[in-house]
Amino acid sequence: MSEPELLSVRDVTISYPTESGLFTAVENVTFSVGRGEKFILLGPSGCGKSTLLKSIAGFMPPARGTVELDRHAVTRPGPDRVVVFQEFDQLLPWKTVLGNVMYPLRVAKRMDPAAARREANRFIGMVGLDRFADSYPHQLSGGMKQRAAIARSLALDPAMLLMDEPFASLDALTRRKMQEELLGIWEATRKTILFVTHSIQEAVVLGDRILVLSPGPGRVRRVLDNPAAGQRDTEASLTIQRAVQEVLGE
Amino acid sequence: MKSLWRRPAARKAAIVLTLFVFWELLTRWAASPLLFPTASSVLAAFARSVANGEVPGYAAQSLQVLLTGMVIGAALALVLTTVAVTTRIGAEFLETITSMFNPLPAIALMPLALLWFGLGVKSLIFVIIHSVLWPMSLNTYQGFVTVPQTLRRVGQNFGLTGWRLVLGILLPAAFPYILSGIKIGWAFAWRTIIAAEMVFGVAGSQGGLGWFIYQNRFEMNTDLVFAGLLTVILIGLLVENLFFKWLERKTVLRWGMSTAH
Repeated sequence: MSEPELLSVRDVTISYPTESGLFTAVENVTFSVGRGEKFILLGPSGCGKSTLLKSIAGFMPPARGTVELDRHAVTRPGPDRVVVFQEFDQLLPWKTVLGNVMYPLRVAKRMDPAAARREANRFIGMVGLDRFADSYPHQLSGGMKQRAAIARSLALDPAMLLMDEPFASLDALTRRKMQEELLGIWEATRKTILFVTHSIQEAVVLGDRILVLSPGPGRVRRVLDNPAAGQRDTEASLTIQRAVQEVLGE
Repeated sequence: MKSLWRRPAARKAAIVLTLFVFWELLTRWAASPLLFPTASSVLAAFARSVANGEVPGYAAQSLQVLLTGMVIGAALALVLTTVAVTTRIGAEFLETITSMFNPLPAIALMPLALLWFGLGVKSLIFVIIHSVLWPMSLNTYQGFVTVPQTLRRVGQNFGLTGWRLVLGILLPAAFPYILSGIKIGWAFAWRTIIAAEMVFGVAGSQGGLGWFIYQNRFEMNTDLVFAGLLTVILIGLLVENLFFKWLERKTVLRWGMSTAH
């Protein structure tokens, strides 16, 4: 791999107690993500891909193994790894779009109000929500809410963006549009992205590399290079889709 | 005229007006003014005691004591619920103690309050705290518990922990429940203070509205007794229909966060 390594996940096993005893969600997972890369965690539901992302975010310490960002062990949540969740309620309902994007800049980066407002407006513009800066989240559509959440994450200028099926609750058309917009944002910012999805098509459109997880407990089945990243319905992307399908079916 | 009738507020005003007319006719025709004064004489007495500052002074006194009690009660509720959401024993403590004290009417504590604090404002504040602390704690706790995990994680993602997470995320996210706790607390406190003042008001240099009503019954100024009751109703209506409605419009309605209650 040409890019210097940013995230390193080594021999990670995650288990947590449930009513029927200790449940192992992910077992012995090892992979690394390069700086500026778009890396996909793909697998059927229940394969532990979201759990793995939560562990990298610092919400859930692994039972075994290590997670390192820039050679520093991850021990707790922090604004250097910002999560975009699937749930629409990730926006603070008592703040406007502008307020939502400004708030973490104020508390996590300790920016003064004027600087935070400038920075927030820049990213609200980048996701195309200028006209809705003063709207409250409940006045926005699902796609607009996810755009606002992406703007809020980008404004913090994290080392990497952790996206946990951010488009899974959107209708097909909006979802497609959001994928294109995310590609555009990545072209403009070259942010390192770890993206969790269960959609093969989404994985192939977005990812430079695709890690396929097997279910129960989640293990690495294979990591595929995707030469068709950014393409939709081309010969190359259909070929890689079939390859991913095959790996998933193994 | 017809379009006016379609408005609920207009219909309610008409109901009130009809009741007043009934009251006036009935009392003119059949009641002794000492037992049941006419509506017009009560309105006159009300206007008189508002103009001479008597009723506003007593009302201000009641409201001041009530607010003091509510603020102390809210602060205690915040401490109790913060402990309850952070520790398991704190949650069990809160559940046990609220289920014990919630059914106990504040008025039943008055003999104890007399014993501990004597006649006066301190006793009043004590019973007000009792009447607001448990409903406000229960609602705030419920609010904290129902904050979506995603929102907590968003706060943690911004590096917020401990008190900063409580103030920055949990409190505003639980605000619909906290507001409904404040509304219930107010309703309990307003009823309690009027009743309690009838017992305690005697001592202070100036009593509250409850004392005003009690004292005028003593002097057989029945029209002023009715004027006092009218004031209690009016203030209750103003706070619930103007102040709280306004607060809801400014907060939970604007945020799209209003809960079922």
